[in-house]
Amino acid sequence: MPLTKPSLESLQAIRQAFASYDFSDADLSELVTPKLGLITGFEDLMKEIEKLRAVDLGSTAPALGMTPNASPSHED
Amino acid sequence: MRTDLLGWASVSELSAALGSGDLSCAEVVDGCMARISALNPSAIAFIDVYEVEARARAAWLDQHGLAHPLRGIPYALKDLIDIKGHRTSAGSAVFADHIAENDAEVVTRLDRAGGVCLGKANLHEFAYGATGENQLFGTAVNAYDSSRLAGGSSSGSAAAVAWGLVPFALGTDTGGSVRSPAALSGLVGLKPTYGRLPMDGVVPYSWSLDHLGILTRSVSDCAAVFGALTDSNNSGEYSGGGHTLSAWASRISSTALRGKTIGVPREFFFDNVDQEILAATESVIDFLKREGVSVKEVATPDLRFARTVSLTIQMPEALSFHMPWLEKRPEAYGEDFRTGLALGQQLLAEHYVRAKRFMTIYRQEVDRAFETVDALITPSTPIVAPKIGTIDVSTNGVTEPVGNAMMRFTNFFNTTGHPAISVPSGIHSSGLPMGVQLVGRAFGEWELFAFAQAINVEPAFKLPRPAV
Repeated sequence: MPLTKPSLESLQAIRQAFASYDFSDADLSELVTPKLGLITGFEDLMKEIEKLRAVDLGSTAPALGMTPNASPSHED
Repeated sequence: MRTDLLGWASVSELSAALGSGDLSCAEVVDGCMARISALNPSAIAFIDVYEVEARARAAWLDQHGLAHPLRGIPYALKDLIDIKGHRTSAGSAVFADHIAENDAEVVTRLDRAGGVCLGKANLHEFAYGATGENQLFGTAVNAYDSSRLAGGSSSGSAAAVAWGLVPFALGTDTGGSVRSPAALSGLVGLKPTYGRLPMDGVVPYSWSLDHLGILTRSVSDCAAVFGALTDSNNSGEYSGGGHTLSAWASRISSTALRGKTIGVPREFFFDNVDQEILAATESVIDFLKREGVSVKEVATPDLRFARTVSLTIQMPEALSFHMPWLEKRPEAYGEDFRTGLALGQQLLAEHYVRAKRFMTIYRQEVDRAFETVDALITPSTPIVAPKIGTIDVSTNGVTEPVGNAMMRFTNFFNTTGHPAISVPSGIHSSGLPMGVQLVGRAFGEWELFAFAQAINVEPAFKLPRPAV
């Protein structure tokens, strides 16, 4: 199902239903209609994440720390 | 050494002058403080200066002629890094009264190595942003053109070194915040392997991507500071012997480049780049060939999702750290950062975990590249330092937000965790510095220094000193 553009009302509903911080309507509005231009808007980011979801990652585990003995690392 | 030249002296030159008695630690601190007093109002590099403490520390070091590797060497700290009893502002009104209870681990190590902290350096609020623009403290200025950005988020750290106020500074790098300002300010900037330098006592932005980094005017200085910070004997007082700058310098020079292979990931990393930056990068590649290095084109990992992966990790992690302060003083946050945190709240846990799994894939893909090459080379940035206040930049007809451009070639290696260093590649016709990024094997910083040093001492890539 294609993603729909988020509305201020939908983000307000999430804010009220979830255990979460009470961001202001102005903050949520910026996600719906970005004006600051410093970060991807919510809609664009969701479209990108939807593409990530289409990639089969098999049994790949989340990244943790790096250790010197991980091949082909090079310990000085 | 003439005290008016102190501002441009290297770590090894200062160390030699201090070792021979030509200079005292007190004279070095006096000289740097005089430069800070004269130039910081223009550079906006320091936001707190520790004059009393630095002079006391220098006097103590003069009285105790110990063989510390960085004895009497002044430095600056990005103001995310704690010093006991001092404010760590993180560049934000939110932390305006946040006094550190302990030294960060890297400060303890620099202290043991004999360093003298002169103060805290300016930054983008909470390291959120590539430009270094800061409404609270002002914006650090580029040493080569005062109408332009020093780069960020470690903007003050870069400006402090580039303006000749200190020989080195520490910064943090979550998407390129050490390497990008280094390239734009004509410096060397190292992001070591993820976890190689401890983040204890450093205000986090994104635990999965944060790296502590080093900014200097030369590769040899960078290696000296890295050597002191990672020396396995740096766990108590130095007893002298074996921990010298010359030992670390010889470690670089003893690594022969002939027979090594450098990988060139042309796709993505050579697209939509300023033509002069591209030409300078090709000149560095040609130089390495002449030095006996084999050049191999390598496949670029699939980078279509790299920025999304990075954002999907950054914003929930930043939100998690900032939640207590958001509850207490939301109005103190800059509007842009607070909105970024709001974005972090809209992401699902599965999105975050998926992004972390992509990090594993990226790390594996870059590890695979290092089965056939010893280092990778890319331009550090696709643009030279932008004017302060720039919103978007265009390169080859492609327009993007200025912050995206400044981090376009660096942020991928925060997701993989491999060490990366920016080294000057020459001067642009605009009079601004250009840089190349070298990426090495995990925990292969010393091999990376060998490549970087060869480039750094080649006259063709030397930069003129900024006319500050």
